[in-house]
Amino acid sequence: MSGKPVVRRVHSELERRRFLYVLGEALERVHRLRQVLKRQQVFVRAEHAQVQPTNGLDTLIGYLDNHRQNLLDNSHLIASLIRNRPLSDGEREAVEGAVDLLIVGLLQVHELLLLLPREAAKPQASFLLRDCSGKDLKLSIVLTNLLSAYEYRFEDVLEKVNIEQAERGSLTQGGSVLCQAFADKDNPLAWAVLAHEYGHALNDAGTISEKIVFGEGPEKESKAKDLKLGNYPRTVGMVTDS
Amino acid sequence: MATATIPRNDLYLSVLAGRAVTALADLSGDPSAWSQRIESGLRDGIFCCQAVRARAGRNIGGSSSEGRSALNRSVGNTSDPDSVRTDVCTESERIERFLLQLASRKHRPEMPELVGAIKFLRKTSTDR
Repeated sequence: MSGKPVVRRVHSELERRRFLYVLGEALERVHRLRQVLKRQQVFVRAEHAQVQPTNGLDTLIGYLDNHRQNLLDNSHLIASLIRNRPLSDGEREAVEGAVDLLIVGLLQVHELLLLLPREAAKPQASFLLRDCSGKDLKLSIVLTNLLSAYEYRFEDVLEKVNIEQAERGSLTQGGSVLCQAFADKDNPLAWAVLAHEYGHALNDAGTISEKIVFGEGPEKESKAKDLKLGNYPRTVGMVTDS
Repeated sequence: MATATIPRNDLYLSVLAGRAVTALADLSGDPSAWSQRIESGLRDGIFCCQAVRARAGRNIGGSSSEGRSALNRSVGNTSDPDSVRTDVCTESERIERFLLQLASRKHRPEMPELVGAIKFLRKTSTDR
């Protein structure tokens, strides 16, 4: 396994679009993350009006703001890059570096949200999934860090660590557990990814892809034999999916 | 979780590096430019280089070589971690000298030098 992904060389317009996409994602998350921290700050202040208990949150907000300011200090260069104006090698490297460093700060703060009181997912996200699938859903949505969000369902993790099927059975009574990133809680566009994840649960329950590949009834076994696939591996989550 | 084990000072590396990168970006546009932002950014870059060396020093005693070897094998990394650390220390000293010269206005920077310094600051502060 190679540690480094191979970066495909692209023409400048595609490169510019990629940059815009990454920049947009980063700015969106910074804004959402700041909102989460501000809400936590209000909550803590309301609970402890007599003292100043929000120092930790102030530090996180200040840390995020420092990164945001670094990006803003390079805003003239970012504008030039987006508008295809010529930049020197140093300026181009600096612009990309500024966005990269912003993302690092963003990920660090987002990870630390695991240590704070956890917010609940928006009920509207469940309504969206219900509307997509058109039936009663058996699922829960929990907020978590970016590393584990959207990558798996809880049952799959238990399966991988050899928890017996009988024990898992009782856990699945509550339905699938979908993990959403803290910063995506208020972003309806990000909820669409949950619909994708829930599609895996629907697929498993109805063996939809299996029926498409192998057919139904008696022809299923012969097709599987022909294809020499047997039990094809399940892929779950954004990272492993195509 | 990775963040939980990051020492508090290392967490601020990316802030320092960001300010230094901004200063170097200003100089990339105009090598003779000078402002409070450039000066303080270069100073932050110097602190950043020193912190990178301190971090590399801490990591020497932080984990067993056996454990590191197993980790490297698992990710297919064949480079010797000790030599990588030496490279980082040497490079950070070189970049720190360059930033010191710029901060004391004794040197007019060339583009390759600026690009090299930006790349170093970016790489060492975004190792994740």
